[in-house]
Amino acid sequence: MIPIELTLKAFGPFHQEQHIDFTKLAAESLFMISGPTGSGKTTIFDAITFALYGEASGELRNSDQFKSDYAEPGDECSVSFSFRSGQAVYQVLRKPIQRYITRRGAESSRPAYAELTLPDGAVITGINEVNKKIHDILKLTREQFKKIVMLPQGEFRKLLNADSGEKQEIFRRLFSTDLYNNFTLRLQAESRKLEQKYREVSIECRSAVQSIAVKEISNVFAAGEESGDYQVIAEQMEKRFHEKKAEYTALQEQLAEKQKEAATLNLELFEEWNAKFDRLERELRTSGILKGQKNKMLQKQELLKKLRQVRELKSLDDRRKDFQQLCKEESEQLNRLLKEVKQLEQSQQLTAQKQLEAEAAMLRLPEYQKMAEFYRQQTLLAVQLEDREKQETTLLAKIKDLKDQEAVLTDWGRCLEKSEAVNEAAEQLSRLKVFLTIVRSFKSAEREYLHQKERYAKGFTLFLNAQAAYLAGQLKDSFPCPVCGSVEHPAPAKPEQDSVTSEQLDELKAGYDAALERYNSIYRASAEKFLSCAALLPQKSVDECLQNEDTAWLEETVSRFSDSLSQLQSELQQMEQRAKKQASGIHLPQDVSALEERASQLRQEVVKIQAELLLTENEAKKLEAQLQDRLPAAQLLAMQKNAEDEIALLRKEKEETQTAMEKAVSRLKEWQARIADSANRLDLNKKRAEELEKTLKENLSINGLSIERFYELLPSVSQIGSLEEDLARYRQQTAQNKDILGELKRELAGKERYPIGELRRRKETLLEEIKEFNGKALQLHSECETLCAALLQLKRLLMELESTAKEYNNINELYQISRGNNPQRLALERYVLSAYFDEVVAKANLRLERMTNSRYTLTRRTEKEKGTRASGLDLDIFDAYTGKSRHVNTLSGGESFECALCLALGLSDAISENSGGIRIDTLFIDEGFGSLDTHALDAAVSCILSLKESGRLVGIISHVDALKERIPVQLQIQPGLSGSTVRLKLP
Amino acid sequence: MKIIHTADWHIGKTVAEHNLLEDQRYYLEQLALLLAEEKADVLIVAGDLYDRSVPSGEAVELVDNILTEITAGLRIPVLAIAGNHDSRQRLSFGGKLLQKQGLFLVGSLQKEIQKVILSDSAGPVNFYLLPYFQPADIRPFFPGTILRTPEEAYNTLLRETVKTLDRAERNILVTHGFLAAAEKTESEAVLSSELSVGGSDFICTRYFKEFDYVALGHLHAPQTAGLQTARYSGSLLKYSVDEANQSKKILCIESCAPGDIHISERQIKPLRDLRIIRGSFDDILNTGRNSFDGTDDYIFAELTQSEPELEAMTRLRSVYPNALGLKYVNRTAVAAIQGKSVEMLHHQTPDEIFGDFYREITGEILSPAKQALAELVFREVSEEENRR
Repeated sequence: MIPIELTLKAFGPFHQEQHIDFTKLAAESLFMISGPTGSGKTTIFDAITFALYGEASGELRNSDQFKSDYAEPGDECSVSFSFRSGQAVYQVLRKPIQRYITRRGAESSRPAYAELTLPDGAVITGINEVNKKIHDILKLTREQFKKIVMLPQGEFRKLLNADSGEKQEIFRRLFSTDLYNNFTLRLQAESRKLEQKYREVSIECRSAVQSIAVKEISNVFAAGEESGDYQVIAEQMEKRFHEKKAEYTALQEQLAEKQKEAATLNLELFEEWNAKFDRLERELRTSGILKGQKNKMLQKQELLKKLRQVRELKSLDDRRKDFQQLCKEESEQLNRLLKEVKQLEQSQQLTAQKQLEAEAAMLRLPEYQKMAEFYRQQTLLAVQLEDREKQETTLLAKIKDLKDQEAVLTDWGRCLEKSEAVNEAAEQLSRLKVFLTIVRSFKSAEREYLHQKERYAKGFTLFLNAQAAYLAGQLKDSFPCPVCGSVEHPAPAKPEQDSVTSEQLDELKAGYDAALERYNSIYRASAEKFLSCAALLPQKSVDECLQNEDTAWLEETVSRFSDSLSQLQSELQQMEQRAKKQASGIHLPQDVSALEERASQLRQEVVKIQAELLLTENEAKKLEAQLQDRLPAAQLLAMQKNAEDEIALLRKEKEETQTAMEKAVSRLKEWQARIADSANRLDLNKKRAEELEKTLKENLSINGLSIERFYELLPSVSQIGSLEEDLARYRQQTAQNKDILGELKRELAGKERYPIGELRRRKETLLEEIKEFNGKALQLHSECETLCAALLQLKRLLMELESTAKEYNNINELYQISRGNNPQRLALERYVLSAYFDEVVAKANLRLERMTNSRYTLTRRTEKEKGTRASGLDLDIFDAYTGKSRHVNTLSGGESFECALCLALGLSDAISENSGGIRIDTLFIDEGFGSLDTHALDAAVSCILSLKESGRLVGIISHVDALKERIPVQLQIQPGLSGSTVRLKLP
Repeated sequence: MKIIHTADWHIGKTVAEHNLLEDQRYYLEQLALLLAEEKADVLIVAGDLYDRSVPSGEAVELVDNILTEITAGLRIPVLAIAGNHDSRQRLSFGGKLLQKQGLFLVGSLQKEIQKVILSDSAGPVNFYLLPYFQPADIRPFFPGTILRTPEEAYNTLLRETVKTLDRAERNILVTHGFLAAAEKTESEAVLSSELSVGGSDFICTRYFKEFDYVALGHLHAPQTAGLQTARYSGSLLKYSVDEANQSKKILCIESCAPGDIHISERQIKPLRDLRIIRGSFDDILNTGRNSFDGTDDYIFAELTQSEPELEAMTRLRSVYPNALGLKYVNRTAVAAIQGKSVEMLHHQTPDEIFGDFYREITGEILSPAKQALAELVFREVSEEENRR
């Protein structure tokens, strides 16, 4: 567990939020929390312990008491701690129960809260869940954490002085020797189970024995029960069993004998024999009866013969009757057919008449055809005529349209002319304006020119004066004046105030020249311009214009012109609007020539169209001449259709009648054929029937039967079957009876009946005896079986008991041994743990040796404790100086701190080497250094420093100054008026 | 100029509850005599004058007396710098006043290393006195530069001064730390008595060759630091058992011109030696009883016997009153444990372990039936664990 970051809010003496970033320590392996007493050093450790486990680091403080007294009631006390375990980063946020006073003055509290954020971002809330998860991550309970990772103030000795039992608890978790503990527990469970089983089995034995209600062995029973020796009982039971078995066997033998005897008395057979005698008597009686019946049977036979004859002839009779029936049917049909033939003839006549009529109508056919043709032609002509007329109207319309266009164009032409005029006026106006401008500028140039001229003149004068003055200045008396040669200079020129230098003069000259130039140029320009508008300005010449002082008259002219222009423009606009309105869609060419072209185009088109029109009119006239009646085409068409319809109708009539005629004829023929058939058949049947009648009469006379007798006997034919049966039966009975009699007489010749009664009695007696014996045997058998079963069960139970006992002994022994109930009082788990423990001690000793200069060594006590206290993990300290070992409790405060520190470091070494999953990467030590002298302090610090290579982080709280100087990385806690603050000081 | 180079006096040090003040006093008096004999021109103490940042009264008194004797009595200037054990501020108390008397106690730091110029017939010799410091101490002098490691800090500060060196004159640097004038090479083993928190990092610098001589302090064994002209003089006395086999010296440097350096050694016999005696307890005692001198020495006994001796220390002290301690070098039996070692544990299966356990307890071997039973139970229990 490597801390990453800790944030405290309103926690202990820290009012404002304090934030400690452990990652800044990165390379350092040792940091120190320093500060005055009460500033909050232990609180930092409390905060870490609280964040992880919800409780303070030491025993004294309570998590209720964490909320800072400096904080407002509304402030929330919370700790947020993020740490790394392995590669995963976790963050836990915890708030203790917050008690505060509400506005109304009542006491209220917010419950405690815990939240854990997993490296994948999932969040677990709820105090119990978070605690459990932290427990899983760190694999240490709070108690263990306090002994191994965070050594609280005053409590560092706990691990050192813990007894074996406690140490076993701690190490079991750290080194995962749960297996052995579970092994022992499992052995315990098994041995208990076996013990239980043994008891159960022995109870079963007892009940098994008791369930046997065998009187004979009850005394043995009682004796055996007392001694608990089921073995003896078992033997007795076996003996008894064998006795019973022998008895049973003897009984079985007797039984077998009796049964054999019973078997010989086969009563059934005897009875059968007797029955035979009875039978004989019966048969004799039967034969007497049969004899009596003989005569009647003979009669019946005669009757039978006669009936048979009748039966034969019956068939003939039947056939005759059939034929008679057929005849009747046939004659009926014949009559029907004759009637139908008559009808057909009648209809045929009708049809023939119709046919004749149709033929007559056909003669009118050509007439109709002609009419149809005529109408057709007329129709064609009418259609054409109508076409031409339509075309005429179209053409006229077009002509009108074109003429309209022409008018529009003319208007437009006028517009264009007007616009030209406007343009010209505008140009004149502009020329005038230009001229006006020129005149103006001329005026100004003139002014300028005059001004410049004046200036220059002035300047020149001044300059000359100045020259003069200059020269005057040069004048010396009696020296000639360069101008006049006088040697006297009574009044030399005085320099003026305003003097002009030659440069200035040049400037002025230049100005003057420029102005003159400009004046001239403008004059020239104005002359030009005048020419351009001379026409507009009559009676004036250029100079007159220019001489005029003001240009008012010019301006007046200009305005006049512009007025007329605007008027023209408005007129033009109106015309244009009108024209455009009329044009409405027609393209208006913009210049006159195009206009002319367009107009001529239009005129040409008009001419063309008019020619066409003439043509069409001619054609129409021609057509009209041909038409007879000026009827609309549709009507003519209709008439044509009528004629054609009539034609078709006539044709149809003719055909129809023809077909009808043909059909009628054929049908008539058919019917007549049928009639002939029918008549033939009738004759045939009649003849047959007569034949059959004859035959019948013949046969009757052969057999000597009269017709009347024949018809009398006819209904009785059905009795033939029963008669035959009776006769057959009689014969059979007689035959049977004879046979049986014969047989029986043979068999029973010379034999006698059996004395059934006697024999029966004998057999009954036997059967009773047998039953009795069976009953006894069964009883014996069941007794034997019970005994056997019970015996087997008992034997089985005894075996089980024995094996259970053996197993139990084994397991119990193992259990007792691994539990520690052995001479050395050493339990299995502790035995295993002692190896780990030795390693821990060895590693601790490496450090202790350095720290105490090889004086002290930790050893594991190997003698057993007194009494039954467990042993194996207790520590002694060996002092090289005295050569003796003594209990760790005898160490002084400082020495025990050294040992505890070494032990903690050794433990964390051993853990990280041995058990995966538990990582002791950090160690927090709260005070304890104060009890060390300077040497010991050096040694302790160097010992802690040596942890740097193993990548572990050690945090120390101490107020010892010597440490403050040695340890560069410090978390300095400064108390203030409103709480303490934490400051991280790095080298 | 003749310069005597010492370092690491650690006045006031105690070793295993023995106060070495008396030995130190004796030694320093001998040193003063040597200085007088040699007619030395200057004494250098290259750091760790005291053993503690707040030394004991007696230590201060001793240093006071000896330095007064040397500077005022023998008129030999003393150039001392603060080491990692000294408190810089406390050491340089009255520094400016004392300088006038020829005692230069330099503990303060500036951007330029404090320079003391002593002249001889050949010209001035510039002594640059650079006390021990942490990077945080000089950060204010170089704003804008990031100085994270001690090596960066040291080189940055030294470079400033190296720029101003006048090669025409002799320049000697006095400095304290774990330094070497080379690229990183195999560092020498650092002894425990020299360690201090956060100061044991090895610093490489290439500026040592700019100086005619570099007088180093901090390592207690006399040695060079990558150059012949950069040396540790070592501590005055043996201050821990680890140093028992070192031979302590004082260095004497003579220089007549820039670049001209002769180095020779002097030795002073201490009042008491610190040595290790090895042998069986009885032998050691007998040797002690039978010898006349040396029993006062600070003895550390390495006992070769395997069984511990009763009241060993007391008895040892009776013969060697200044015994520092003892150690059993052959005692593997100290860790006499019955049973297993963790190594064995890892190579055995649980039932094998149980078999051994059984044998240890009962003295018998586990019968096959019981063994099978044990195996079965182990298997069941571990399956249950796995399922959980």
